[in-house]
Amino acid sequence: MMPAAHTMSPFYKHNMSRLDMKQWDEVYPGYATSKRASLRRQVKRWSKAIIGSTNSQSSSSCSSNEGPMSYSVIHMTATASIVTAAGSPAAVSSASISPTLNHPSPSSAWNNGSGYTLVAATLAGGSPSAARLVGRASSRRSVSISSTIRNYWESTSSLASSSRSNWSASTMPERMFGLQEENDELPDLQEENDELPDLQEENDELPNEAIIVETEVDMMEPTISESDMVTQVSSSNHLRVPGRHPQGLMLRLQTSYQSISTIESEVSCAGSWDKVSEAYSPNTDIGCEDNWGRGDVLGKTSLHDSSSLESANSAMVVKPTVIRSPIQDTIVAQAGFGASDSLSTMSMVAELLEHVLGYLTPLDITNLQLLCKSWNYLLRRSSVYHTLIRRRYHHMRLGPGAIQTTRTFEDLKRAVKQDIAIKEGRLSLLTQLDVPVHAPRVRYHSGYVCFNQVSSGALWNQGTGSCRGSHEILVYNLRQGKEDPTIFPCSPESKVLSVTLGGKAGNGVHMVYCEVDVNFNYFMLSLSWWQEKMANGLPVTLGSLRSRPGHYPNQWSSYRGSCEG
Amino acid sequence: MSNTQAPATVKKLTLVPTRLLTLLSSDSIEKKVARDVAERSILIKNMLEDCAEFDQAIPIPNVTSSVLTKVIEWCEHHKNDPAPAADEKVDSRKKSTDIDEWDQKFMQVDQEMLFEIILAANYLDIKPLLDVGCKTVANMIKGKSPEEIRETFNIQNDFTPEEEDQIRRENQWAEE
Repeated sequence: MMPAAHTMSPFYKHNMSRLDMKQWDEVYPGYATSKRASLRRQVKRWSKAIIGSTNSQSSSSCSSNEGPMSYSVIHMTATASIVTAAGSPAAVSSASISPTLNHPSPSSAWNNGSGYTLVAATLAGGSPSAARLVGRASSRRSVSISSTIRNYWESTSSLASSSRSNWSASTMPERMFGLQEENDELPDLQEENDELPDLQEENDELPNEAIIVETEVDMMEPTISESDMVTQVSSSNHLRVPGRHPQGLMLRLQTSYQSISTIESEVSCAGSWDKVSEAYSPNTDIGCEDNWGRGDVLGKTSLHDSSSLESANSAMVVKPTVIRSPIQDTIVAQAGFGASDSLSTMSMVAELLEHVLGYLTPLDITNLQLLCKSWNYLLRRSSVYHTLIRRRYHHMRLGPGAIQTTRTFEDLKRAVKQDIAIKEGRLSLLTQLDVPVHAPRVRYHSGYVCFNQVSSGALWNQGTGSCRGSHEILVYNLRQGKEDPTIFPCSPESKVLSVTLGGKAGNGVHMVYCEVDVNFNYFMLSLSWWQEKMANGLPVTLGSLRSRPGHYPNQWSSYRGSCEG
Repeated sequence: MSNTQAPATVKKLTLVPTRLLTLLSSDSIEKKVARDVAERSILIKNMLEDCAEFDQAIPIPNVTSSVLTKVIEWCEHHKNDPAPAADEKVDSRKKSTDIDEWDQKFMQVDQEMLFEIILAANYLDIKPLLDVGCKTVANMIKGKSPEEIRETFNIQNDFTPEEEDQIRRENQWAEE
């Protein structure tokens, strides 16, 4: 089910007609097919490992599939490395995520938990290829799993709404077989179980049961759309380890989508949620260029630009035909601009550019974007842009009343990564390949939309607010009554999740703030939209726009406040 | 007695061989360079550590002779500089425009050579030289308007006015 066009990001307006595999193959013959086959091989291999390690525990039920809506089955397979106490050589693992989502409704799904993502990691003495041991100085048994997850999502139809579920360890094999039934191309993995070594026996250091990690899935939309897919991709997994596990178990889940994007996941265990890592490799971002950022595709910029800001510039992403300066010459020659498939040269140029940009101010960097289309292109698609965006967020967070916390900052960084991932179009490739990827959507940020009216005529210090749909904020002034709310439209890309009003007054200033949960990715994309509306007379501003007391009536200001993961 | 000792000492010193390496540029020009100078390049240093004897010319396939000459010149001048600290990256960026006077003169070359030097420094893993080159480029950009930067680098603006305006609006935050 697709949302109305106006609720979708401009990027997806470009990509509404999602390329099917055939179309994609027309662009790159055999590419999509091979990608899909590769993913299937991943699924098969890891499914085999999981079933082999958890087969004996499959007995209980799973209530995840009730609900009226169709659901999608997601394979997420993983490799893992385990860190043990005292660097014991015993612990290696394989791990897997196998989520199946079902979303009856936005609210009940969240409460009842009808979607789930399951991670299973099997401790073993054997050593899967990706496993490695890292010592950890602790007397208790601490285990850290670093997983690179490959996702494969067999989408049967639409996903919907919020979901969260707890899934017992024993349900996983059944679920895995459930997946098997829906995928004729997968072999009977049971038959291949004998091939798997009994790795448990070799592990004296760690418990012999499989580690089952549950993830919480938080999807906020009643239906999944193209844009939602992006949102989900860009969110985090919360992992929880059942009680039987060694205390202090820490998981670091690194999700890799077709080796295109790498997104960190926030992980916790044994009831205490620990943020583990924020590592990020900009070079990984560039890697996607090698796969899809080729010259003949560059002209089809809908593949790349997702933001409203960038979509307007999508026409800029063109192969340069004239090279006029040594700088351009060098950069273009190195980058190839579509002529080269070399990942390393592209990465090198980006690296050098970032090196230069390290000495520049944000204003200088933004000026570079104005030089020409080639520079604009390169800046936006190199890790340099990462620097710029991060600075932008830093800048935005300096508004009045901004709440600075470590957690907020960390969330901010993650959002920046994902924002860039979307902007650079990496995530869109997944859609293009018809391999939608799920990661639970998390409300990264709550933006404060602060309505600050100096005029004494309208009192905004009392009132209530709500959201209508996903892109309208309704503010009810008590004086006006609930029948006549003031409607503050958000940008079509905004995802207003909730609105909370508060207020304070002083020095003749009545201020009501409206806390809006917006998906941060879309929030950024929508900033220019807000600015535009402001210019057109809407009494709302956002983000970096500052309050200018004294400009009234109808002088509104806003700032972004806390960010909550 | 003392008369005989002094020449012996001199002779002893002159007997210490200056270890010369031969670098082979991409255009097949050989350059002789002292080992300690060449080892300003981490690439070459690692190569030499891995190979106990290096009798043959070391190919530097990505660097032309003219650029290699400039790089060697820089390395000779800075051969006694302390090795860059691990966290120098952060420190150097704090004092972004600080470039040694000699380095400033050294970098007074045409743009093409400048970027060749930067690329060579990157390839040869000579971080201080890379920093100097990037700082030089940054200084050519810093504080200038887009028009001035275009003029500096001879870049033609191929944006439409609408596109340019759009980007300016996007970047308005940076001007606050």
